[in-house]
Amino acid sequence: MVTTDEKGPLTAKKKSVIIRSCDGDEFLVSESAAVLSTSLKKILEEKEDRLIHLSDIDNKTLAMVIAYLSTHADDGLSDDLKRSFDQEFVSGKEFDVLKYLVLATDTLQVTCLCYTVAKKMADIMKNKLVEWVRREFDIQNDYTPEAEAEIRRLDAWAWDDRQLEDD
Amino acid sequence: MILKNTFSKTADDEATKASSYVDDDLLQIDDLFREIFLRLPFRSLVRMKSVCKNWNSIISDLNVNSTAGLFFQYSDVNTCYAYVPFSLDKSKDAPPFVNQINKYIKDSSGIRILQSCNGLMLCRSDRASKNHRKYYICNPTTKEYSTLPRLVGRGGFSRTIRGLNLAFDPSKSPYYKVVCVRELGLCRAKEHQYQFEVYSSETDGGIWRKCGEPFTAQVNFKHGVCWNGAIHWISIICAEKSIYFNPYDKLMMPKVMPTPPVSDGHFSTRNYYFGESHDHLHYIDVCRMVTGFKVYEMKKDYSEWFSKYRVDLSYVVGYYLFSICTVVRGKKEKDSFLVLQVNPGKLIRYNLVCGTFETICEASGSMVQVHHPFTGPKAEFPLQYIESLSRV
Repeated sequence: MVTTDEKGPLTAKKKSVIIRSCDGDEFLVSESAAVLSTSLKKILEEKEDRLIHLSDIDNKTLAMVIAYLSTHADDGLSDDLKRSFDQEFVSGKEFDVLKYLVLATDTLQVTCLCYTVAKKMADIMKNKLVEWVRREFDIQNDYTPEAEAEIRRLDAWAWDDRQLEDD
Repeated sequence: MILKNTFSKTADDEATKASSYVDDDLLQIDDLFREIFLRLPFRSLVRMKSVCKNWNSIISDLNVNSTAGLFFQYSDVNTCYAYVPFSLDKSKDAPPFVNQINKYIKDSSGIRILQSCNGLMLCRSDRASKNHRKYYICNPTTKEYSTLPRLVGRGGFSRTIRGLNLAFDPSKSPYYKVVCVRELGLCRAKEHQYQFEVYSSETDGGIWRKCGEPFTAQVNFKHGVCWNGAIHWISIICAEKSIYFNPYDKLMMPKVMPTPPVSDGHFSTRNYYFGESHDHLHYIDVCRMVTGFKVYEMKKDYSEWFSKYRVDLSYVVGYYLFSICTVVRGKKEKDSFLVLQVNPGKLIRYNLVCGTFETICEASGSMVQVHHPFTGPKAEFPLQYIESLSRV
């Protein structure tokens, strides 16, 4: 018979996983949070190993993803609270930070977070100059000046006098 | 840092490639770009085409289609157009040339739009005689258009065209097909026989191909609706069968779909709204004496029409002189709405989930009008304007 007394030790025994970032730091994560990432779930299903090494995600980014996963694994929080956490989570973050975050969510296959971050990035990008976008993504302009002018001429309506930002 | 150059990586960038976490990381990055692009307003998205060639090609192939407004056609001496956006938000502006199809398609007899389908429009010469009519496929967002090959009567094949319809679903194929319905004459049972002829944009320099066997049907071939890649026609007389035809299917014959519901005590001929929005096929039986009605939707497997929304307009319109312009399904369920004309030129947007409403247009003059027994046949059914970068 299960008594209330047994509940305590059971919770304490709740499985957890250690995730190591590319910087070498280790994070202790509950399994219920880890499996919200499809990639981590697959790894855990395949091997008994409780230590997962992510060679491409740095400390700062990994800590953010884990904070997200832990919040979403918390059954005590309502969906509304989780939603407002998501909004809070991306607000005020620098574009550079979001870039690493979106890559990490893609690697770890955390779809919901990936969409939230992509939306935030789109919100930042929407009124920016093309030059700003190239700089932020470190993209080389491979158009000739003539070809670029032609592209802009074809879609001239999208380039009206609205003020675009460069910072 | 390892990720430093991931976003800007090129195919020959071996040094960084070795440290990436997936083999085909270039594809992965493009997928991430797509996720971001899909969340940009249309105007910003179009500007991003000039970032680099890769972005241009990703964006051009992106299956963006959001229903942004309505196109009204009014035939006077020439066909006139008016465009009404659904949103009052300026940042969602449509390109300023959307309603100038007649200016950039070079046809001396003017242009009439026959159908709007997932971002593309099927048009024809307006005032030309039947034998000199040209047909066009155009994307009003990009101003691109192409002329369809001539439809000719040949080998004892009837010249009479009963309807022309566009089948295009960019989520399934980047190519479109146009279905022409020819009338062949009477069969033994004294019923009209029809046959399909199909044009596909996939085959280069394509021609019209005769499709399947002659068949009989009593539907309105002029008003076909594309859903799921197939064209759907509603019977004019309630007791008759409504049919659909999928030109992408191997079976080259029309199939019967469940008969749309009719309200009790209705006349034997239909007065209806029939249209598609974001992968949903809708039907409304319009009974002018009441302000409450149901919006029906077809099940994906064609098993039945089910009642999707109940609409009560009693507190929206004071009297029953309204017409249904369109039904638009939102990406989120709560964003689905209905557009109604309550007076000539006055359009109301009615939220199908919350029942809230707002005026989106109060135009003077005769441009914004819906076909209605009281406005006469000069005004036609409005067409949805769907923003898309699909190629013609």
